[in-house]
Amino acid sequence: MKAADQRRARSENGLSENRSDSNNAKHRSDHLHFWVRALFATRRQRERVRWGMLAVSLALCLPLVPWTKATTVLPALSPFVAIGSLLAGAGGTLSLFGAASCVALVCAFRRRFLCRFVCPLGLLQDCAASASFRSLSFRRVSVHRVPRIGHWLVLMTWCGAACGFPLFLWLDPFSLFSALFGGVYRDWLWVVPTVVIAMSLVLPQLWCTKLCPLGATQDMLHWPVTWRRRQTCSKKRSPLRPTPLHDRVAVPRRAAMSSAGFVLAGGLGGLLGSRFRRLSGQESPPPLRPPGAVDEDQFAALCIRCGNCLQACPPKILRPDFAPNRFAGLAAPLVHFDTDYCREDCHACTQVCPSGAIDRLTLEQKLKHPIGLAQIEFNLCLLAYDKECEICERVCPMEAISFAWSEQEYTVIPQLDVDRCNGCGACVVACPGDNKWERKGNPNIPRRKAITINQRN
Amino acid sequence: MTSRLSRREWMQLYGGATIGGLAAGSVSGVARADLASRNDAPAGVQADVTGVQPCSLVNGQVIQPQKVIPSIHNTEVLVVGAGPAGTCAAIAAARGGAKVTIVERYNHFGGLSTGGLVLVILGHWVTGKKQVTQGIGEEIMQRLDKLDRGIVNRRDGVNPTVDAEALKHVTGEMVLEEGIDVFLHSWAAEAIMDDNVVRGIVFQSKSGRQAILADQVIDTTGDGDIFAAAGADHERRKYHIGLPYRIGNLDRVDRSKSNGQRPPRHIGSVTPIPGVNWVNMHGPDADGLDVRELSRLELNHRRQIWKQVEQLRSTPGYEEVYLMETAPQMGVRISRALKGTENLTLDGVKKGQRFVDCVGVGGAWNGDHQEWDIPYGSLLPTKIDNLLTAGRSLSHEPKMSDLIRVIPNCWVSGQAAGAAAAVAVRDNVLAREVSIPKVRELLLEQKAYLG
Ligand SMILES: Cc1cc2nc3c(=O)[nH]c(=O)nc-3n(C[C@H](O)[C@H](O)[C@H](O)COP(=O)(O)OP(=O)(O)OC[C@H]3O[C@@H](n4cnc5c(N)ncnc54)[C@H](O)[C@@H]3O)c2cc1C
Ligand code: SF4
Ligand code: SF4
Repeated sequence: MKAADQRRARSENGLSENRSDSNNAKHRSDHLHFWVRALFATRRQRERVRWGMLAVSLALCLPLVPWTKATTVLPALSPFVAIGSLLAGAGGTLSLFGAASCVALVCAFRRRFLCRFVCPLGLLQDCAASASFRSLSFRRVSVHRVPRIGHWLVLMTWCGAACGFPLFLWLDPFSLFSALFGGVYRDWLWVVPTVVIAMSLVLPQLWCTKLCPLGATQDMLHWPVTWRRRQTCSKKRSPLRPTPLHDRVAVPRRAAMSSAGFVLAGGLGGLLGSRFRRLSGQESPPPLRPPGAVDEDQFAALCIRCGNCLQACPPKILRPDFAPNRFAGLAAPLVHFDTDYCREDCHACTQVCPSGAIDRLTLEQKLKHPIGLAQIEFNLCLLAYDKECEICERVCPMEAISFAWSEQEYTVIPQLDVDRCNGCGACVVACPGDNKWERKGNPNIPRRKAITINQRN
Repeated sequence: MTSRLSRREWMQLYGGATIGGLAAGSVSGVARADLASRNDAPAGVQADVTGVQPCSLVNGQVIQPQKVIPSIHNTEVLVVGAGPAGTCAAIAAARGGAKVTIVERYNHFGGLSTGGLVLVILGHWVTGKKQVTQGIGEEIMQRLDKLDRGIVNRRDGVNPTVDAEALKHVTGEMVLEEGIDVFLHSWAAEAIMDDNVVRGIVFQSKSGRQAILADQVIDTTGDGDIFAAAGADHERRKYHIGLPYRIGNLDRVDRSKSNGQRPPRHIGSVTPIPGVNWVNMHGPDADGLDVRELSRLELNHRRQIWKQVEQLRSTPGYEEVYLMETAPQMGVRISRALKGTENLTLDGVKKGQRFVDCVGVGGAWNGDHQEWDIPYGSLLPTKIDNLLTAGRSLSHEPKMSDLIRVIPNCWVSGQAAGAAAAVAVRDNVLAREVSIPKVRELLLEQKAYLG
């Protein structure tokens, strides 16, 4: 009560101040109003909220706010991702699912709540669409007859998740948005979201109404309410109001068809999901993932390719994987030690994963959590050539490398303490020893350093 | 043992004893030379210094008679040991206006970088291919540039290789140009102390045992012989001791016989002399202050080198290669490290720690990290005064050894010590009280880089 009183008093004060300075203030507010209108181009309340959410999303994804976990917020709101990763076995990240369950609850009662008020990708598409029809005079193509692929995608993903691989989790619009703005442009993660936005130049609404898995998820969450409303409608025998786009499930014939379709989609998703890893080619040992990554099978599945970790990594050693022989992990982050190493004072990537693919680790935990294991090939080491080196010992933050005298080789040989090494790659980056002599004769032979990081067995 | 001598007699004998000069390795911890030059000659001292005074064997102990050591020279700055650090220290001090004297045990300047056949200049540049070794070090390299076959691979971001004889010549010329007094073939053995202040040194040479008095002493023996003798706090360390060598006839190697194969071991790297390669050696961790160990290693290493060259010669195409020379000077990397008022740590280097008393900037081996400050405190003993060190014996933690000991960083710390000593002499203050801004100013005048 007290607080409310104070607030009222404060606002009254504000008013009186305004009044005392009314002319000036009016002028200013006119001015402001003009710009706000120009910026929002609409007076409708909902549009304003959407623009506001776009601004907030941008601030979170770029991120403009000084908060390490900012980039997680948007993707963590998606019930599609939350349910998908839960089914795929993400554990230990319950805090992630809290936000999504609240959102899910709202969506159950407010139809397409996220689409209408939050989704920044949707707004960008709307902008693209209106721009294209106004200035580029594209022909508007109706997407009326396109089946609801989104529902299929959702079911396939969830059933796939339960059976091994959440097939289309990466199509979540929030993580696409994150990948578009947060993701590092050179990493190609921007391609899919750009395609999605470009699509609305010619086919407006196609994505939102028919394809978007998050939209479909919201529809599904809303089903109980839709279903009840339909029942009351039929009881009252009220004339059918013109059904809004999203409520066309209400037509009985279509509903029957789609339930058969749903079963089919679920079955197909389950089948594909259980076979996916085998179909996509497994590699052993698996490639190097960020510290704290869950085991490879799950990692490729849980990662939603939002690019948060790539963006968070200060030395930029995480890059998406485009190796053709393992497309289960397509575009999931890989660790590269060609330019820099995993810093001993950083655990940024472990803080920003919205799907539970990377465990939240404290700095101490991260230091003990191995990315891989260093392996030293003495043949390529400068010490085998009597050169002055031992750089690896100096740079290793874990003090895992030492040197032992070998009477037989008559030199000192680098030794690795397997328990200390966490595969951070500092030694790899610094090591000057490589297969230069081999490449002299044949430059096609790839460069190989005396130290490499390999997956631990 | 002492029962036959009275306690007083024994103290007199022992207190006046100077130790055997050649066993410099055993200097530490033994009683210092108590020169009687200032005080009245105590009982038992014979004023006749020309007469022969052999040691005597008393009760199984070798006793050296107390005697007056001729003080043959007075100087303002005395540099003991003329390796990379010592030469730069002497030149910097002389250019700073001081009267400088060098005492060096061998017959040339350059220490390990010439006599030790350590020919690769490692660590003068940092990330971004920026060269941080300037001043006298850079001047030495520029003078080598002008010589025919003085230095190779002098490019940005590359570690050049020098010719040992060219470096001896260049540093010799620079020392002569500055009018520095030089005592070669002179092995420093003792510090002359006045309470906590160093007043000079006693050294052994073909001329016998003699003393030099000085206002400021710089210990650049690499092994800290003088600061140990003066009783300064220090640490003894073991590190790899090796013996580099050079091989010849590399221009007659027929590489077509071994095309595309891994080059043979122990082939070394190019030097400014065509057809001659430098081969480094690591060697085991050993005590560089233990003369038995040094002798054993020396012989082992030579035997191994012969084996390695034979092995090389048995490689197809390499039949003509021969062993040109082994280093005349044993490759002791680290033996003593001063405990200075400031200690360099690797963590500090990695974190880019800066010091207010920065008198030099060290580099990285492969330009793989940032530059780092060399503080004046790392050259300055905690208790002893008017004594500085530089080069591979300055105050550092073991993990820093590889960074502080490389030649360019020795040039830099040596120049800093020389400049500081010159300022101390000029201002007539203790080395501890020297004005850092003045030292930095002098260093900048001498084109040093201070960050
Ligand atoms: C095998 C080996 C390989 C190395 N490789 C490299 C390399 O590739 N690149 C690189 O940059 N660095 C290398 N280093 C390191 C570098 O050569 C030395 O650390 C550096 O030369 C040390 O310089 P300094 O002036 O401190 O000492 P030193 O070079 O040891 O000079 C000390 C001088 O003092 C003299 N002296 C010693 N005791 C006395 C005494 N009691 N009385 C009088 N004079 C005395 C000595 O004769 C010598 O001239 C290597 C070292 C070794 C041993
Ligand atoms: S990868 Fe190399 S630097 Fe990193 S902990 Fe292992 S040994 Fe040390
Ligand atoms: S950094 Fe590489 S070349 Fe140097 S000692 Fe270590 S393994 Fe050998």
